[in-house]
Amino acid sequence: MKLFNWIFFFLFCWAPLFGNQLDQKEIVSRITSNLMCTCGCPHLIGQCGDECGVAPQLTSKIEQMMASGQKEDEIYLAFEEEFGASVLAVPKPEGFNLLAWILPFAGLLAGVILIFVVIKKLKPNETPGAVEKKNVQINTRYRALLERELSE
Amino acid sequence: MIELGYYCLIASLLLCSYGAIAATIGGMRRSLPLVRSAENAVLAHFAILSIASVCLWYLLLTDDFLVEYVASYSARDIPTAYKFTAFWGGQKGSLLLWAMVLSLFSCIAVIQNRNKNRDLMPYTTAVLLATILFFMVLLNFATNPFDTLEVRAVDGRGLNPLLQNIYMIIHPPCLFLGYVGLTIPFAFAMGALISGKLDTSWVHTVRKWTLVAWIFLTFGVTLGGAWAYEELGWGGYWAWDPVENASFMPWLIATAFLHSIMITEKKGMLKLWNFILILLAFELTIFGTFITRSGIISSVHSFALSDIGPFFVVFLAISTLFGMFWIFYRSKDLRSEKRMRSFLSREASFLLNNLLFVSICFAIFWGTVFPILSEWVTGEKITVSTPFFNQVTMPLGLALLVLTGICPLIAWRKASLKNFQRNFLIPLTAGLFSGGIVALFGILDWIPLLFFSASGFVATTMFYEFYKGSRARQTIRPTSFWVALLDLTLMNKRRYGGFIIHLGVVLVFVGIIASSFFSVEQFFTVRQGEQFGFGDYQLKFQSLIEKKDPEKDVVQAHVEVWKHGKKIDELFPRKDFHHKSEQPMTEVRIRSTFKEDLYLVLSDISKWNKEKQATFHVFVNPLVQAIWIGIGVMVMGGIFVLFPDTKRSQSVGPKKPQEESSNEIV
Repeated sequence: MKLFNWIFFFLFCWAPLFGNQLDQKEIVSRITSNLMCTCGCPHLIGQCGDECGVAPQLTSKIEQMMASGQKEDEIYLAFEEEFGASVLAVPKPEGFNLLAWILPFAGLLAGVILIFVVIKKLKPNETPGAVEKKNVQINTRYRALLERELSE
Repeated sequence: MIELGYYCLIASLLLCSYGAIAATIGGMRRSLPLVRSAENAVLAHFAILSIASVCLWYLLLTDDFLVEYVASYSARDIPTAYKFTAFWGGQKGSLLLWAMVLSLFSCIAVIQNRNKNRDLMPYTTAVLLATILFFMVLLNFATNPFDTLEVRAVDGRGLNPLLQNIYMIIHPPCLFLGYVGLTIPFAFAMGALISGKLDTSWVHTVRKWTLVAWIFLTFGVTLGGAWAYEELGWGGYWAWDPVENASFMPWLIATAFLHSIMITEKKGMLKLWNFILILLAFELTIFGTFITRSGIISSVHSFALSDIGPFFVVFLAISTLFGMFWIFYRSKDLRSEKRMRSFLSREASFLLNNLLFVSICFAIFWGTVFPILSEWVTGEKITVSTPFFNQVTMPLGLALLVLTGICPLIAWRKASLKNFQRNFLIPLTAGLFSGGIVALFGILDWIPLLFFSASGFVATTMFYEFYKGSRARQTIRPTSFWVALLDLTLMNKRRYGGFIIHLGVVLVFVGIIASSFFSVEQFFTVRQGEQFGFGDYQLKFQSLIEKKDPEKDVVQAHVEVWKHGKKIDELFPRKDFHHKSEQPMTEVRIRSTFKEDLYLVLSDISKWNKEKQATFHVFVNPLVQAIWIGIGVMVMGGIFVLFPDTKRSQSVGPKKPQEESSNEIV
C-alpha cells in the first residue's frame, strides 16, 4: 500500500515537480488552488476572493504560515486539522479514497487491454497470403473446368 | 389562463399516455392505423403543450402573481426580456420548456419519417412518448408551473440577479436543445433494437440528429462557461462544478458516438458499441438534470432545487434497465461485419479515440459522485474539486489531442512503415517545431510544451489534409488551387467539415492551456487617483460612483488602463446591491484582445468612506479569446457538416490512384 501511496503522491505533485523553481507567491497561489474556501461556497480559496470575504483572510493566513517557515504539506495538514478533510480540494490517496485516483486510469487500462485482446482474438486466422493462395487454387480449378467444358 | 394551462397539461398527459400505448400495440400488431394514430398524438401533444407554454408566458408578462411560479421568478420592475426568460429561470418552467422542446423534436422526427424507417417508427414513437410522459407526470403531479398561491402576491421575488445576463437568456434553451436532441437518437436506437431492424439505416437517420444535439450542446456548454467568466468574478470560465460536469458528460459521449458511427457506416463495425454510447448519452442527460434539480451534490449552479430527485432516479433506473435489456437481447445480431486487423489502423485509432472520450467521461463522473460515495463508505466528508479533474483529465486530453492528428493520417486496415513515413513526417516535424518555437519564447514547463507541440501536430495534419486533397483534385480537374480546395470541401462536407471542427478543437486546447498555465492575478488596495502596475498595464483608479435605480444600488469604479505610456481604455467594474438579494453581485469588466484578457474586479469597497480606498482583483488571462473563437469554429464546422454534399463534377483527368481512395474517410 505504501508503494501505491507514493505513486499517487507523485501523481498529485507531478506538475510542480517537473516545473521550474517556484517563488513564495507562486507557492501561495498553488496552495490556494488546492484548498477549498471555508465560507460554505463550493469554490477554491483562489476562486472565492471576491464573494465572501473569508478567502482573503485564509490567503493571508497561508502567507503568514509560509513566512513562519511552514512547508506546503504542513500547511495542508494544519488546514485539515482545523477544518476537516473537506478543506482539501482533492481526496488524500489513502484508504477508500485511493479509489478516486485509481479507477479512472484503471478503467482506461482495462479498455486498452480489451481492445488489444479483441483485435488479437478477432483477427482473421487466414493471413492475406493464405487467402490469395486459396483464391489461386480456386481459379486454377475453375480454369480447368472451363477448359474441359470448352474442349467438349 | 391558469385553468387553461392546467387543462392543457392534463390533456398532454392523457395524449402521450394514449400515444405510447397505441404505438406499442400498433407496432406489435403491425396495425398501421394505430401507429398513425399514435403519430398524430405526437403532433396534437405538441400543439397542446405549446398552448400551455403560451399560457405561462402570458402569466409572466402580465405579472399575474397569483401563480406561485410567476411570484417566485418574476417581478414588476424587471425588464420584459427577463420576464420572458423567467420561463426557464426556475425548475417548473424549465421542465415545461424541456417537455415542449422534446415534443417539438418528436414532431419533426415523426413528420420526417412518415414514409421512412416504418419498421422502427412505432417503437421509436412509443419511446419518445414514454419519455415525454415522464416529464408530463412531473409537470402534473410534482412540479406544476400553474400552481397558485392562496393569496395573490403584491410583487414577485424577481429573477436571480446572477441569471439576469445575456448568456443566461440563451444558455439554458441551448442546453435543453442539446439534451433533448440526444433523446431522438436514443428513441431510434431503441426502435431499431425492439423491431430487430439492425442494419445501418437507423444510424443514417440519427447521425444528423446527434450532430444537431452536439452543436447545441457545444454552444450551450460554452455559453455557460462565458457566463461564469463574466458573472462569477473569479477570473476563470470552468470550475469543474457538478452542474458544469453534468452538461459536459453527454457532450463527450455524443462526440464519441459521432466518431464511432463513421466506422459503422464505413466498415460495419462497432454496432453494439454505438447502442451502448447512445444509451449512455441519453442517461447522462437525465443524470445531469437529476444533479441540477435534486441538490444531492452542492453546486454554485443549482438554481432550482426541489424534491423531484426520486422521480429522476426511478426514470433513470427504468430507462437504463430497458435499454440494457434490449442491447443484451439483440447482442448476437450486433456483431461486426468486418474484423479489425491491426492495432495500427484507422479503425483501431477510432476505437482508441472512443475509449478516451468514454474514459474522460468516466473520470468526470467518478469525480462528481465520489464525495457522496466516500461519505457513505467512510462517513467522512471529502471534496473532489478542480485540481483532481485537471490532473486526471489532462493526460487523457493530451492523448485525445494527439489522436486527433493521428486518425486522418493512419491507413485503414493496417498501417505500414511506409504509410507512417509518408504521412507523419511533415506533421510530426511541424509539431516538434512548434514546441521549439514556444520554448524559444521562454515557456519551459513540459506540460504546456507537450500540449502546444501536439496542437501544432494536429493543426498541420488538418491543413496538410486540405492541401493533399486539393492537389489530388487538381490532378482530376485542372483548376487553381483555391477552386480545387473549395470544390473538395463542398464535395465531402463530412470529411472536411470534421477537419474544420478539429481545427477549432486545436484553438480551444491552445486557449485552455495558455489561460490555465500562464494566467496571473493580484489584489491591489489603492487610493483614489493612485496608479498600480500589473504586467504591461498601468491602471489608474479615478473614482468611485454610487448610483441607484429601482432594482438595485450600484457602486461603480472608474479605472483608466494605460499601456506603454498611452491610455488605451477605461473600465468600470462595479458591485450591484439588488434590493431583493442579500449578497452583492460583482460585475467584472474585461478588456479583451486575442493575446490576453485584462480582467478587473472591484473586490472590496469597505474602506471607501473613511480612507477613499478600494480593492481591485486584477487578472491577466492569455489567449482566452482563442477558446471562444475555437468553439465558434467547431460550431461552424458542425453546421457545415449538416449540409448535403454537392455533386461530384465529371472527372477529366487521370483516374484516382488506389492509395488515395483507401485513405478517404467517410
